[in-house]
Amino acid sequence: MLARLGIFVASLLAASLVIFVITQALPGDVAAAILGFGATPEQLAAKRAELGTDRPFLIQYADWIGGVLHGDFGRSWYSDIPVATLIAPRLEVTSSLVLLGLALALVIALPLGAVAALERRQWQGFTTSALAQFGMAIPAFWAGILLVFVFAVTLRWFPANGYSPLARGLGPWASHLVLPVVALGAVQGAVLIRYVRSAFLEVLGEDYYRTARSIGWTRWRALARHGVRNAALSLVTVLGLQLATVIVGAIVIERVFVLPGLGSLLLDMVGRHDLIVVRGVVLLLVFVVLLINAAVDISYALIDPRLRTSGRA
Amino acid sequence: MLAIRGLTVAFGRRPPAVRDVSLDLDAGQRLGIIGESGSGKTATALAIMGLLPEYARVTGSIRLDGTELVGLSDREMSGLRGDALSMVFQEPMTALDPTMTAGRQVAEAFRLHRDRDVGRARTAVIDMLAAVGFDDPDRIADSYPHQLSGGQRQRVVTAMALVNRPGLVICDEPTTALDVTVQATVLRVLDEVLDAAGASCLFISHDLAVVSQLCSSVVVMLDGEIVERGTTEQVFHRPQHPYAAGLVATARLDLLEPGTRLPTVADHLRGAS
Amino acid sequence: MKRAELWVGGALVATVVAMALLSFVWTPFDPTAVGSGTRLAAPGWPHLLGTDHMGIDTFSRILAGARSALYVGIIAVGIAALVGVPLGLATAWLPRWASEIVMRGIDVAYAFPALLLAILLAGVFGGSTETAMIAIGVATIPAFIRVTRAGALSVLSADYVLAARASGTPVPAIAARHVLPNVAHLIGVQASVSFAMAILAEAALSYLGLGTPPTVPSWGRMLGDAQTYLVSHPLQAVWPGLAIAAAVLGFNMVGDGLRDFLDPKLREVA
Repeated sequence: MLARLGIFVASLLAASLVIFVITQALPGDVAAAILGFGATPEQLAAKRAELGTDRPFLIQYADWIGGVLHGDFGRSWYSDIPVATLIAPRLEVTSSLVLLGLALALVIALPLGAVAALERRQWQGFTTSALAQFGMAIPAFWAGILLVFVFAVTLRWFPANGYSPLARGLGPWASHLVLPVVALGAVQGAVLIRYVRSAFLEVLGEDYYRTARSIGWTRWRALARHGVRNAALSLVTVLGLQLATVIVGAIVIERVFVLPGLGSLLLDMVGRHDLIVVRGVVLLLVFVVLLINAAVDISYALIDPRLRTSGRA
Repeated sequence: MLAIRGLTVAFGRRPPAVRDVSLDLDAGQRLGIIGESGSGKTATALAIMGLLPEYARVTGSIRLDGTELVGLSDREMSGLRGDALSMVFQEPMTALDPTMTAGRQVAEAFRLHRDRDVGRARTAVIDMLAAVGFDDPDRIADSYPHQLSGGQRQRVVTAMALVNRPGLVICDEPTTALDVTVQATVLRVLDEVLDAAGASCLFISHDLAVVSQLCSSVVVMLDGEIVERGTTEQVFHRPQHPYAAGLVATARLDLLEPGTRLPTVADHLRGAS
Repeated sequence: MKRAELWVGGALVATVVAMALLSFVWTPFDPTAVGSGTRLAAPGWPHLLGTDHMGIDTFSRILAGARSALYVGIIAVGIAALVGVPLGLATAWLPRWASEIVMRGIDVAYAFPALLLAILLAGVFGGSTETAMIAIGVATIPAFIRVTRAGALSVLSADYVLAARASGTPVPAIAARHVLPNVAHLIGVQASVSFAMAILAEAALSYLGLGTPPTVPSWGRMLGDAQTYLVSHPLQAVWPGLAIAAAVLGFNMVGDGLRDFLDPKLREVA
């Protein structure tokens, strides 16, 4: 447990260093980029001192990380607004989208993965696997565009874009999120089906599954009862690894549906080369991914009693 | 109570794993099925349980107390499994779900067929665990499989199979994976609980010596067919088929003169052909 | 049936490659010339799939778009394989602690998917085909390291390799003679699947305006343009998507087919 925590901290440091090197060392003179060509050497020097870019690299890095640890991500080069202030109101949008998308993906993948495994020699299983193969090939943002045309433009069931905060009521919030969540979750669900299928196939070959069948569970109920718990170990791992993909997918989907989330902020600031904001948002996203993966490792012990008693976690 | 007629089991395009097997088992009777791996004994057992993979083709007739089992749907068969008939498997290390306590797994069998009530199921589980020889059934019930020894797990599996007092219990090499000393305990427990339940038993083994301790009659299978049948006494002392004679010879090493080569089954088969 | 998967996938891939090659020598109209036709014409004749908001023939642009998709895919997968395969082989020989560090590094790298890395690079250098290719390639390296390492480790423990090592055959010779040929099929499968992912990533980046520049035909950007005219001309948002899906499906199917075809161990257990 302690070792896992150490690995998490080390990973986070490594990741933050990578982000910092890319956004601070590679671009060259940030002050020149901000002030443009007409800047005098005095102005440039003043700007460098203001940004702190005239100091040694490691000091700048330590400065940034030190600030981040206190919740201070710096100030936007473009608007001078604190990065944390820019990020805060967007957390709700992105986390709603990612969490609901993951939930939908699971709701799709668990039963269909079970069908694909249990009926793998029947047409149902074949159809499901084929469906997954097709689903994986569809870009989520294209699915989003098509959903907008059918359900927003033609049928007018849901708004085509925009967001309504939860605080303004559950109904509007939900109706704004339906299409983005479906676009993100359905495609991710198709990807997950194969993982669920192979995890379940493994269970079907296990002796304890046969034992469960021998005491009177039907195929489906034996799998639901003993399969899900045992497959959970590998599925949780896959979910952890897929999280990064889902978050990135959410960035693109936010653009499709003009949702004011972290993805939109990131893309706007990329367009303005406001690297301090870009750096902060990317660090936050990477932090979440690493944190969840550390949590996944630790959760093994909750799922598998064998790991609980042997003290490994 | 169990009547099998012309049972044939085939997988894909390969030659049938079980060919035209007929068997009868009276209430309370114990029949040993002997044969080496691949002789079709496990396939026979799984056919009776309805647990063969879907792509297996089963023909013939299996009647349990007059009910035809061949052709029953999975749902219908599930109603009987664990209740009217049950099975003790041979892999004590892997036959239990590692994520559930032993007690909960035995309780599942009870709650599926007898009584949904958790409290009454717990009582039945503790009684059953005591019946399979555990002095501390409460502790065993709350243990996870990895916390139990091979012999303990095998007794838990036995408890699962017998908690509903089924009429027929199929034991597939229940002691093969265990130490010799543990084997004896498990066999004694099995003997007791089968007696207490008044259950019939199909006891599958490659080991004639083990079968002779539990069963009154024996069939010998070779390449999917029954080649010899009779009381344990008959097969043991006057085997007819050369393969059976070979099995007896390898089982009765105590009859061997010191200094002679150990007999093999092949010696006898070759002599016959 | 698995053979069928390989054939169908192969046919889809061949179609995409043929489209790209054809577009070099012939397209019905110039895929880049603005105003070569009516703006937003409906599908028909002579514009089979219609025209976009700048009057460019959509069918011609789809054909030429295959070039961008394949170009990015080839370079990205090339970078990933050229770096990942030697690294994967090397880590199979490294002492435990050293390979542990590499594997931990890979775990960190998984937190930077291709798109995130590409967005980060685009923030620094501006979006371009090059930043997209490099980002996708670099982000794909870990997958190749993992696959090569796992394959190499299993080959290295085989008896004939142990014999070769015991007889003093130098390490690079063992790698070239015994290990590489035995992991080649794994690398082939990975390359195919990575190619599919690279096409998806390129499409998304171009859609976001961070990949292929506006003047060069690309399926992702076509979708971005079409979204603006979605209400009146929805079909323009259908064609590029179909092209992406067909290409991705093709490479994924080839990967799956190869895996099942070459590795009997992975065939389904009875």
